[in-house]
Amino acid sequence: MAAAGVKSKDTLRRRSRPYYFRVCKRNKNSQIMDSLPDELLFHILLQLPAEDIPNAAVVCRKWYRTTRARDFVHAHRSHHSVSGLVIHELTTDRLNCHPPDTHTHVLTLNVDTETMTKYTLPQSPQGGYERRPKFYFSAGKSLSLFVLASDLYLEGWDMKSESGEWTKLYNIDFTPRKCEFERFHSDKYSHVPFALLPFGWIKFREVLAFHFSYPSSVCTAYNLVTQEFHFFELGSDARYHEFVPHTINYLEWLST
Amino acid sequence: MAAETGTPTTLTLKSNDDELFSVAESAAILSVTIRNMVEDGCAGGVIPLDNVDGKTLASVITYMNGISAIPADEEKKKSYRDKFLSDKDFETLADMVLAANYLNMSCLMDAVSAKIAQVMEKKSVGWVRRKFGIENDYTPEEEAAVKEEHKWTFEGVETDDDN
Repeated sequence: MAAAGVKSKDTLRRRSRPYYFRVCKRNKNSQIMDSLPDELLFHILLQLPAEDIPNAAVVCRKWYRTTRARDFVHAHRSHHSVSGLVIHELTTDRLNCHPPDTHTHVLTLNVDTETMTKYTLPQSPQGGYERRPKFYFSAGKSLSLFVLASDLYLEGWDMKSESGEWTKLYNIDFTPRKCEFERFHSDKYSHVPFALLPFGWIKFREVLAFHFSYPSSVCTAYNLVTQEFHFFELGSDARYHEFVPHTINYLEWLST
Repeated sequence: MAAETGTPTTLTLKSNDDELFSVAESAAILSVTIRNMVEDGCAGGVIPLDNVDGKTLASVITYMNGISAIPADEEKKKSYRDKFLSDKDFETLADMVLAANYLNMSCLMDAVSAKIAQVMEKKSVGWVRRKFGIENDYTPEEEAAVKEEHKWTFEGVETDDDN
């Protein structure tokens, strides 16, 4: 009884030590990170660029909890919002592929320096990009362009903003895999030709998100390297919205 | 009780190991914690800072003096911060982030946090664990599951194979 009393008193005393005391008493480099209060760990991890966050979550349970918390996701997104904006001629209806995308240039605005730059779009070797729907995704210092060459075939380019030089990196042909999408068709749209429209990088240069050209809450993440599809469903109210992220919203995915 | 005879222009700060430091009030009020004390009129004597040791406080005061001498030019302030932090080791940085938090100095806190984060940028999970001495408390199955979750997320252009 008495021994137990002593023990609990000792525990109590130790627990009531403030953070700084523990920190000052530490003697090993290795305990520094663990000794930081949660809100400071949060603040430090917040400074990490987006591409390092997934790795940080693997480090340990505490880091996982910290980086997966909704608060963190939102804080990180506003902290790292990309200071670039792509301006291009809007088509009247992105869902309908027929109004021609006739623009031949793209303007970018660097929000930091307020500099606008006009870049010439790349030309298709076969010609005919002028009238095809185009999708732009800003990714920090480079800009990705996807041209819907036909309903199920896309050509993708990357541009370095320093040089304005376009490199063709992707040919995405979904035609042979058309049957994989048919199970998502409702009867209403079963006879309508459809396209897969990209709406953003989930993983830069590797995983691209697509939605169908007809109203559907089903989206797919397509891995350009392994050519795998990963279908997922957004809320039912998502089907009539167009998805045009102006920044890389991958963290939103983690929070849902 | 507080004497309303005008605030002193120099404050005396005391660290938790009883070192005393004099600092211009104009520089010291970069710390919101200190500014509140000044505004409440309780900064007349010695200001005890129970959560900061002398070594760290000396560093923070160097920063306060340095940054407050720079006119409102964010570029210059940033380059001062970068230079100020460039020679600090990891342990010092950890002490400074705690001190900055306690003193409520957001600019220093952001800069130090960014500096710590920079250390782990583009590093492998194993490297981060070793560097920061963090114990892997996942089971192998759980760790594999967490990695699997990331399969579809952004990991950046460069893969980290350096160690």
